[in-house]
Amino acid sequence: MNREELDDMITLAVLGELSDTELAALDEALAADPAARAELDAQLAAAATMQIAAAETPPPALKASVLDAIADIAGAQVRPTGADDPPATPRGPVASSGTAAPVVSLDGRRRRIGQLVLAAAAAIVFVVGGVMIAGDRGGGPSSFDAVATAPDAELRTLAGTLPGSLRVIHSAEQGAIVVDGADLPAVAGNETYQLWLVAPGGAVRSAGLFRPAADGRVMERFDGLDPTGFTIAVTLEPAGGSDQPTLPIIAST
Amino acid sequence: MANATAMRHRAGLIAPHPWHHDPIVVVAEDPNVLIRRVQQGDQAAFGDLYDSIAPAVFGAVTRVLRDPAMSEEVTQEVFVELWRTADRFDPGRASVATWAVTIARRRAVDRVRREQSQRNRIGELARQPANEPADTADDVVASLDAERVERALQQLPDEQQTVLRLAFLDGHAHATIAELLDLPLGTVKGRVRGGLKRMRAVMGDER
Repeated sequence: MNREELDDMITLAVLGELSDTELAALDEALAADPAARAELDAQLAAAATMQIAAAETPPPALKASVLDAIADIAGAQVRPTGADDPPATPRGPVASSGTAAPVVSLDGRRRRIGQLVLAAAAAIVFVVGGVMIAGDRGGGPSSFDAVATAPDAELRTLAGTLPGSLRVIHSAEQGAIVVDGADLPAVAGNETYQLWLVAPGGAVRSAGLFRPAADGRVMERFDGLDPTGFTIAVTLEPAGGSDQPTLPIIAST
Repeated sequence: MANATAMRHRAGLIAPHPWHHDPIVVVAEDPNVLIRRVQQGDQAAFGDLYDSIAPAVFGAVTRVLRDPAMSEEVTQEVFVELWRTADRFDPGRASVATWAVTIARRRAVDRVRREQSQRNRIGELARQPANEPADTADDVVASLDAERVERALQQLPDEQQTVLRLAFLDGHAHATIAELLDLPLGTVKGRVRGGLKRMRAVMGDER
């Protein structure tokens, strides 16, 4: 590849117009030419600056759809890359796997999102009205009510691959979280759901274990916790729970 | 342009997301920090990463594809690819946003190639003004970055400015730009290269 061809390839890479084969050839050429590689990176950064400045807010429902697709993949392989992928090698901003990513049908997701919308709306009524819903197990109505009606009560809905609806209400004043779930799948005798608090820096702390009743409902209160600012996540764990979450995360805020 | 108008109308019709009632205020974290957690398979971190870069990705895809539904699909494909290839991301070579937008543009261009013959696309574009300034100002998320980019673009020679706008703000492939401006392919590529080099110099001077 002479200089002119290399310049052309770099520009086409910046324009996103190289095929996977051409990209691989360019990567190979650049491996032996750090100056050309730096030129490509600089052009990509300049082009990206323009495109980033012209950002557009995507439809809100797209996030749930994307995270569902990721959870499906993570559920299948746990790690971001597949076992059949080549060994991970940093390849820079242009390279990609070159393989078609499995994409989950948006239609199905939209239906599911609709269900989640209904669940979230129901949950909002729950908090705004301060209505007591008697729990099936654990705590007791008054202890749930104390959290739901606390002046600083906050409601968060969890979404993910876990069927059914799951939300939490927490109150720093009460130092407690109430987990409210419906239509959750039963777990085997040697398994349990585990609730986690994930700090912004990535530190993980177990909030407690829960298992749905025969009708799929859960209403449990966990004390001594203030999840404000934490991501709340759920995993399926061996009975007794784990010290660290076992991926995949099946629902999270 | 009709498509941009349709996008605006569509954006206006979208109901507020119900989870916006969620009282937790999520402060966007630095994607260059989040990526390290994503590389460990942390899906929650990927959700945060989505929040911080989705507008850039969706904007890049929409500019190329123009079709809202197709743009959503390709944006999802891009995020799946970002997840699957996260451990190959090299922070020494690019920011996370640059990496993501680069993949976004590439996947959008791929989709155009698959979905539409170049001839049809040129036929459609020929009915639109060829080299007016990007009409996306109303669509973009208002930001200081946008102002800074616009100021930098205006300092470029007209021929470079036009080509960069067509390529990166209107989302056209270089062959389409050549057709629209009646220029040889090599000239378009040269102007992209020269224009980006000058953008770097101008924006570097501003810092």
